[in-house]
Amino acid sequence: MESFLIWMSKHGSWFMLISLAAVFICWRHLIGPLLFIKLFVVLAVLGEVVAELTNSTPNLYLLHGYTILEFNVIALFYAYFFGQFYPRVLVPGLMVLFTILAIANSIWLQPLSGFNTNASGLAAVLIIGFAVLCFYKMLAELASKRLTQNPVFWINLGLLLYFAGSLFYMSLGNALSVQTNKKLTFMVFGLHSLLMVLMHILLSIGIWYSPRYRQIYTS
Amino acid sequence: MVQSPVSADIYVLIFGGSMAMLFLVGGVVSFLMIYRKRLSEQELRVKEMEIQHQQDVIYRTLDAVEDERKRVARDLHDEIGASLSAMRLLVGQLTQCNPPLSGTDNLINRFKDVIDTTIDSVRRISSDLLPQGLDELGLTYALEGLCENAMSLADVSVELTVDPAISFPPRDNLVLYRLVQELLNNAIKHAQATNIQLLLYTHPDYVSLCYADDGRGFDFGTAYQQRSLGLKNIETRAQMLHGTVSFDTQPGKGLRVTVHIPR
Repeated sequence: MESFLIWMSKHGSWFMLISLAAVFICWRHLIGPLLFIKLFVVLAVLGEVVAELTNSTPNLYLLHGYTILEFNVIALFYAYFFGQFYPRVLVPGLMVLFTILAIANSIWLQPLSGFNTNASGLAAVLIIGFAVLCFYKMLAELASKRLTQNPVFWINLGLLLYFAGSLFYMSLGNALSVQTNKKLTFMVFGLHSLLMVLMHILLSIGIWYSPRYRQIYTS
Repeated sequence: MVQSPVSADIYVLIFGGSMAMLFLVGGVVSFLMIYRKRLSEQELRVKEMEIQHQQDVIYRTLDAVEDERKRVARDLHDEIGASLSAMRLLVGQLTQCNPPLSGTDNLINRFKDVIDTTIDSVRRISSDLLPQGLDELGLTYALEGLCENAMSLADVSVELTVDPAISFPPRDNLVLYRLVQELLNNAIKHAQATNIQLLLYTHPDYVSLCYADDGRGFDFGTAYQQRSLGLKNIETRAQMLHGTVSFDTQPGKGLRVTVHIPR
């Protein structure tokens, strides 16, 4: 288990290629809110590539910018999907608020040379909230006869599992002796990587069902 | 053996994470189940609404047919009937002409007969279209007329018993009248019944119409599957009164129909 998690922390990023391939295969079907999932996957892969290319030097400053971009792209996906079901200012308002708070955090609380756990924690909480609202909207509208063929269901599930798991491991890791124990740190990274793999698999399933969504969306 | 704190932390991490994931997955599974349940409930509601809509269309069509029948019956009675009566009077005046034309008496009498027959036909058609006295004298009177008419048309004896306490709104009276008319028509046309019993009585909660004949009877399942128009008509009329209908019949054993109409 331990070696698997360590392996996962080192090589888990390769699984992003699955969702990237799905994006390229279903490129023209990714319309409406799925447009932002296309952007999210491309952004995640680019972020990973840039992180790999710059890992010889301290590159944690990239994470600060990436967290803001990632949250806003995901928030745009939810804003598009929610439409007028919730107050229209809800998601854009939270996007602006989060961006301001994340920048303020990077300037005053957690410098660019370290991890931005405050911002990523807040992003995770907000995305969990969006995911719950998304499930509620689906339940209220009952728009899909076969929910498991609705791409938004899989994408929302992937985002919820990833961010809820990340938040959990982040807070649990902080509570335990991760800071002082390298082995435990690797395990937390491994579990985080495992969640990321799970998210990208679920995103790929959602993207795979996008042609069906296109039919519904354009009809 | 005492575990090291680090190894305990790993177990907490893995166990806690697994529990959190299980909790989330459980939530998603519950969501899926609730979604399916609500979806099937919604589909059921939609189907019920569709059936209700179809019934409404049928009821409205039948109401429209009744309205049209009333209009035609009134026009026949008021216009054609009145014109024929006037014609009859004018023909009667021909005999008083001076000097009387030779050989016309016979022709005038034949003319009168034709007009009388036409007046009778108009009256009959009019009363077929609009039950005589239903609105003015009530359901019992109209049903008596219907039974007398049936007895005059065929060699059949109809025994009608109506509870005097029965009272329906005019529309329901008409629907019930048509229902009985359909039953009697079937008895005369198809069942070759010789004895018919009709009983209309009240319960505290509902009104019951019991019909029984000694006709040929039929296989109900086959007739229903063949979508017998008569059976469907009876069923639809009962539904229009928010009532229920039950048929009891077998080949050679007559027909018994019971309609319960809530009060």
